[in-house]
Amino acid sequence: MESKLALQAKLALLAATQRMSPEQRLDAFLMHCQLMMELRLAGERIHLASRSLPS
Amino acid sequence: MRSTGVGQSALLLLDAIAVLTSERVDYAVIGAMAASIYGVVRASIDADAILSLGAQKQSDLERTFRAAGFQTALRLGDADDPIPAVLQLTDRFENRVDLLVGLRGLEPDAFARAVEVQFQGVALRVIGREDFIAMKVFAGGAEGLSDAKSAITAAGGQLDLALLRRLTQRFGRAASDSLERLLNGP
Repeated sequence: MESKLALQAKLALLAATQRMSPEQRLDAFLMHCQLMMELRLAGERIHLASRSLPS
Repeated sequence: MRSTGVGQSALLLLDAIAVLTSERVDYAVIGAMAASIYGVVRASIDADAILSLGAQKQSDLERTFRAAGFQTALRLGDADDPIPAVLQLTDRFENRVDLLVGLRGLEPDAFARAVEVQFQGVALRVIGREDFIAMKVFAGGAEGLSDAKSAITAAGGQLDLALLRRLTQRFGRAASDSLERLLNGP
């Protein structure tokens, strides 16, 4: 099912991205990748810590 | 090496490009970095580029990268694989660069159509918009088609539709049909 609201949100995101210069978009890409990887590693650490807790 | 931690595959790519430039190997950045330029910014574990390189030079290039301090792995595709080989580069933070050694269907002129984009003080060669969309349509899948659709929408009236259709046709009938669905869809 197509959501009109989801489509509008996607188009707004696309328009916001296109207002940046190509160089700014690549900088944003790098920052986004770093944040996502740090988030993933934090999740893994929490998962490992919770497994090591006594039940 | 520029990378100082995780999530910096784009910086590892810059190191790789320095080697490619000194070896006079033509390249074009593709994948999520190109998607960030033509559509929406999305995260990716790796950074990708496609090379204009003969099969006989793959091993030499791998040796050059290894001598330059990269961790390398050269993976060869099957006979029916549209990608003949991938040279994978990694660093100690598990950042990863995939260098595609060719792509069946890609027009050789794609390297001449690549556009220059500044990134961290380096002039990167990025695959052209129409070549990018054609490749993404060919790649298919939810992500590939979403990237292609975003690039089409963002381009507005700037797309060279005749070029796009011609480039996509080179990847086969299924790719052409997918492109028409994207062009005519909501």
